[in-house]
Amino acid sequence: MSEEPSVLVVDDDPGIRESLSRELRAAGYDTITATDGHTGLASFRLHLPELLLTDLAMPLADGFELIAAVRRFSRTPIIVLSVRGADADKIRALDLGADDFVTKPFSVPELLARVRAQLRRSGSVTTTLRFDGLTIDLEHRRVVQGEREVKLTRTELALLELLATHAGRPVLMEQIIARVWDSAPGTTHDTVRVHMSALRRKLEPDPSNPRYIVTEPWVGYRFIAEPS
Amino acid sequence: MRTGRWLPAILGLTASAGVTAAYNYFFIPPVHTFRIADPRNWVALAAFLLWSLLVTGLVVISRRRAAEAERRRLEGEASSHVELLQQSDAFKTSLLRAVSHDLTTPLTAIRIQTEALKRHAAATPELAEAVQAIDDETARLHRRIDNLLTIARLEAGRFRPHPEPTPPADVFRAVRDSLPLVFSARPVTVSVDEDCPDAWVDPSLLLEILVNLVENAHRASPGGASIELAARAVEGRVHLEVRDRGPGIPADSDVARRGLGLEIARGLTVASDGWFTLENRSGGGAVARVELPAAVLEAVEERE
Repeated sequence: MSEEPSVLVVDDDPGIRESLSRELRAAGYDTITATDGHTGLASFRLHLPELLLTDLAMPLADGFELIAAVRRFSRTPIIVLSVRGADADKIRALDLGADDFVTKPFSVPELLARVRAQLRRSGSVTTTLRFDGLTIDLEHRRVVQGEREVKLTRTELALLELLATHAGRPVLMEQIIARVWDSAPGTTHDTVRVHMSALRRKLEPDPSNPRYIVTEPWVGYRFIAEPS
Repeated sequence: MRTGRWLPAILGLTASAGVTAAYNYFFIPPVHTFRIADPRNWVALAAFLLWSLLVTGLVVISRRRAAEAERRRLEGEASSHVELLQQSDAFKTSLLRAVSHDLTTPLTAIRIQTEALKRHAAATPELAEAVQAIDDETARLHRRIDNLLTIARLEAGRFRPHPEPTPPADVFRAVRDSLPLVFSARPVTVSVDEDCPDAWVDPSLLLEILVNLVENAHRASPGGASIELAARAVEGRVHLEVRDRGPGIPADSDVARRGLGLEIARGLTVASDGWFTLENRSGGGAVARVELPAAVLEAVEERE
């Protein structure tokens, strides 16, 4: 095995499969390709790549089957290539255990950024998260944005912590309710939205140009700042 | 219905009886009486009557057959019409999916390939510029196709908007991410009033609406002129405006001249239960306004 992180690309369209893996190689990754869910799974077991990039609609076993099968034995990050107008597919893939998605037509730099964000997920146990202009000290419950200290309630801090530890990745509404509210009965998407909008009002220096948290249509939220 | 069915038969029988009597009266001696002197003439008269009845019968039967065939044809046509409609609905759906896949896949491949070209062209500024132009135009083409497919899906009932509380600032940010060229080519100011509520709209549709409007404003504006994006609350609704300093609203309503973008924006706004207006701006230029319902969020008590 080589030093570079390896990425398994599964897509039934040869044009996308080949050009995508060429771009990934150019960006410094090792690539393996497969044309459908069946060969994808076999190839995954054989090579154990650091990241899986899969299309959803494929002949034989589709992307959903592949995600479910891989998640039975592996926690390797999975990014889904979805088509526009298929929000339900996106959510189903995330529910099955995919970590992120890009929507065709995606730009290559965007995809590479998502790949980096997934590979960065190292599970480090630091108690202080640092982003561009934002420091979150989880131990002392202190949040500093620019020069000012941001006073957050317990719920808002829990929200911020959940999102910031998943920086660059989408967090589903259901995951937020489960993690921040312990799935307390009566907690709805609106509950989350109210607290999130309060958090964003306190956090964002310029509300008309959000730097940290954005809504991910029909999925939930995404923390967008790059760690520094 | 019943009398209608038997009417031709009754008419035919009456006519047969009538002409037989007339034949007897005028041609069988003694003429001008209904009496018959020669017994052979009874045979002739009977044959005449028989012939007349036969013709009547044949006519009635053939008419019935024709009516029956016509009825069957209409029934068949109606049922096959319904079947055709159902098929065409399923057909539309699968056609849309196929068109979407078959147009999107090659375009995605082109965009990835362009990325490889960009890498190789980086050393030659002229080439790099050309490749960048290819990339930008492909992205624009892709967006147009996507917009048209979205409108087709909305019309076919295959896609219904999913409104959710959408912060205008998020959408403005997404517009900037979608149109880096416009934002680097000219000043674009963004303002969201502090008391502006979230809009109740499908965020992906609102993004497409605004991208089309900003692209349109960009095309209409002279170089260096700024574009303004603004969101504010007006009487419980959210007004999103794209203001430019271009030539204002064109006088004719020719879509070709006004551009597809405005029509797409209008179509998507209407599908989002919104209100679209385009007016001249004081001091020159145009204001495109999308009015949307505001999202209502119940206040939730903080759990400490």
